[in-house]
Amino acid sequence: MTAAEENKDLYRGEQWFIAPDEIQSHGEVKVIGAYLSLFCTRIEWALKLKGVEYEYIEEDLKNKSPILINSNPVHKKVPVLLHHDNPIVESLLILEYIDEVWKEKPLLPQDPYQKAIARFWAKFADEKCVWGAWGACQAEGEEKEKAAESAMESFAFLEKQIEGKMFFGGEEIGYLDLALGWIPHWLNVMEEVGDLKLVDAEKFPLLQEWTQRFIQVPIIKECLPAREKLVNYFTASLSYTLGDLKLVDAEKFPLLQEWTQRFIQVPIIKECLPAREKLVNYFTASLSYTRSLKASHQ
Amino acid sequence: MSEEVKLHGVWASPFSYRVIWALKLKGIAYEYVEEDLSNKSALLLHYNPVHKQIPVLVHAGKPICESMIIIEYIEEMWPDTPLLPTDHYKRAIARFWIKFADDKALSVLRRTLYTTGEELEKAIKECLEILEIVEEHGLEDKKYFNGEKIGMVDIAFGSILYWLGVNEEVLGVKLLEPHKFPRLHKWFHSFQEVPVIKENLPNRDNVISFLKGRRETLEASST
Repeated sequence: MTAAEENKDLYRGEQWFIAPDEIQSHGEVKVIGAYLSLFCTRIEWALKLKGVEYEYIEEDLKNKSPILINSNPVHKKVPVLLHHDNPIVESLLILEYIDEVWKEKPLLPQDPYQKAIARFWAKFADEKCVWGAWGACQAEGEEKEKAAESAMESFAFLEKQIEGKMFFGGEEIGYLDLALGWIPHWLNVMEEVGDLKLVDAEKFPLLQEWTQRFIQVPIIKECLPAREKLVNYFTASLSYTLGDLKLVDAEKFPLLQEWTQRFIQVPIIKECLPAREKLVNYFTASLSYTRSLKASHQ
Repeated sequence: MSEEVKLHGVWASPFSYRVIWALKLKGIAYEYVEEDLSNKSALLLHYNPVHKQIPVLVHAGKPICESMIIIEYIEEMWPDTPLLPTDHYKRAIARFWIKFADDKALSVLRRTLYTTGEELEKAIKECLEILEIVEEHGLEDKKYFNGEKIGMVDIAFGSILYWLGVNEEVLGVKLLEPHKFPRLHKWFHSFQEVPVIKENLPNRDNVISFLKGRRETLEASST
């Protein structure tokens, strides 16, 4: 029995892991990504599903590296796939590239019409669902209701698409499942932080069932970032947007900015600072308390 | 391919023309159906329930929506006269620029068409920035984005720049200036000389009137 035959996933009784003797090599592969980014995890899922070995490089988005800026001069964003040092950018396009180069375990449908449909829904979801959901999380009051309604209309289309299927890719996960793979994990956190429910079992039972199936696939599960870290990240993003201002930035006040960098490095100063995370949570809570007070007085 | 090909479009839309150019470059016979977007047909709504937009390509009764997705489909079904490179990496680059054209260039074009005052000024400024990016990174020293012959990226940008050019007349503002964007300017000139493109452009005066009319309505409602 080969290692591949031994590594059978119990859930589906099918082979989800690619054994070492099946690993495909088509030259050096690197991924420049950010641990919490839903766009980056898509890429890792695809490479792992195809048994492609790669080196992962974590990028600090607040302090972008020369390698990122050189690889993606137009957008300076992650993810970036480097193959033979050639950079490929835009997560959905990277998935297409991976699928073309490593032909084992195809992600996109073979049929051109089905491929067009998959591309259509991935584009739709990235444009309407991701930003629709995040927009609804950030909004408040009446705007929040409207934004949530609009987001749910978009999810309703996805509910129809999964009807009668195990996965969007059919019997096995495919390109569209990877493109929508943010829903079981990232959306879940967004909903918690944004205090609303967009995809629930009552409104979208089929979509909800799909999220459960998808998240149990071992390769999918092992790439998910820690939920707690996601919660903190979205909470911070939300509070940044809610607070929505930058008072001391390097452009307006370069000398002051430089001083802040020097000051914060002084050991005695550094060791007395409270954990940033806790500060963020505190200010977020204060902000929403103040706003709720204001709202109740209107 | 003997199955019927139909294209639902609108005469004044850059998106319609993208698909027309792809079909004509590959010599694919098709039936054109003009849609009235102010009174959308039941058929259009049936074919494109999500966006309710044109273009829609219907091949053997199956609808495909979104202009560049349609062209990728056409490219696979009718591989002669390829519109994308065969090399995987070059294809990824081509798709990057197609996405850039749709995400950035198109949205700024829309704003130059449909805004006034301060918003319009902002849109014009952004438009120049976008053109600068394409000038610097997109074309390199190639005749066309696709190399020696036009391809999908040329079609994507060509449609946008044609409408931008017409809008320049409507606004009385020159955006694609040869001294600022020499490569892009030269490319655009070559693009419009390609016989299939030259023979398949909307009547320029009609587009000008159409856009002028829209602008007048816009300006009237904003005063």
